Amino acid sequence: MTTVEAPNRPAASEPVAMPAGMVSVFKQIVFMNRLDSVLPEMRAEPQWFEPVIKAMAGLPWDDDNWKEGAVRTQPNAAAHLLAILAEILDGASPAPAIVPTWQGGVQAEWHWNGVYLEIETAPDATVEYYFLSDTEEYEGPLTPDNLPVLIGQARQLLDDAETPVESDD
Amino acid sequence: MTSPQDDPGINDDEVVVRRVSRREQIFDPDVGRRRPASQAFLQNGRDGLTSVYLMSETTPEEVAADGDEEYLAAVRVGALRENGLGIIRTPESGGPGHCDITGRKTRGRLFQIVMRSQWIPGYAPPDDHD
Repeated sequence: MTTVEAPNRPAASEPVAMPAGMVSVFKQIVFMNRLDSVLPEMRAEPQWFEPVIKAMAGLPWDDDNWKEGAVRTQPNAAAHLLAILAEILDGASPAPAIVPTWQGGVQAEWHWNGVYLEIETAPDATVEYYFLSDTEEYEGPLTPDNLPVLIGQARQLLDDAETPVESDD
Repeated sequence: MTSPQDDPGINDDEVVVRRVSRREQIFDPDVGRRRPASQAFLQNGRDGLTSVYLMSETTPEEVAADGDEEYLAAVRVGALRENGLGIIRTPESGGPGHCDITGRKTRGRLFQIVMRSQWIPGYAPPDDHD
């Protein structure tokens, strides 16, 4: 009888505790039925995905007073942002900075190649974005009508892109 | 659009300081340094007031002691006005030197302001991208 050896497995890394808020984020994505858009990006291991997940893990999921007058991050807002990123970004897109908003939303922010883009998802499911380049400026809601425009604008971040490695804790 | 409430007695060259949470400072690869995120200058909504302190009337130590935020970002009053915002004194809500930034804090305006802000020495985030 021949035996087949199990392939070598990489050494287990330190377990990382998943904040409860992040678990809710993934549940929200399932609930929103957006796995079809998120999973292909995950399989392709886009450069932006891991830094974004790490940054989201550091959001104030359980802290209502992380800033004067602020409330904790709401999982549905983070899930919504993640789904939008999966829809608009290329696998080689640079990762955005991720910051909480005072009313429980999440904002993604890029400043790259002279192009500035920020996208904010709020707990009430509204999405606003701001785009600034040498030739173009837009500030307002994200709608199904201007989603293709945003995708084109996000592609401008790709020119000569070399993904910045963000090491915020 | 109406002009924001503004105190002409506060000179353009005055510097105001804003407390910034560690969660609202980011590394900006386009300028190669850490800066406040645009959200750092938002408080109580885009039409709400944003607390700042006049540096000529208080000290960084006093400003830092008044809140839990870790860092202090400074910006010229002139930069606020050039971006359509105003400033008024409100010592009753924050003590000596306390002011509020008035006017609609659009994303475009806040981006220009954070790009022109500078950290107060001793109250800046560590820069791990040098």
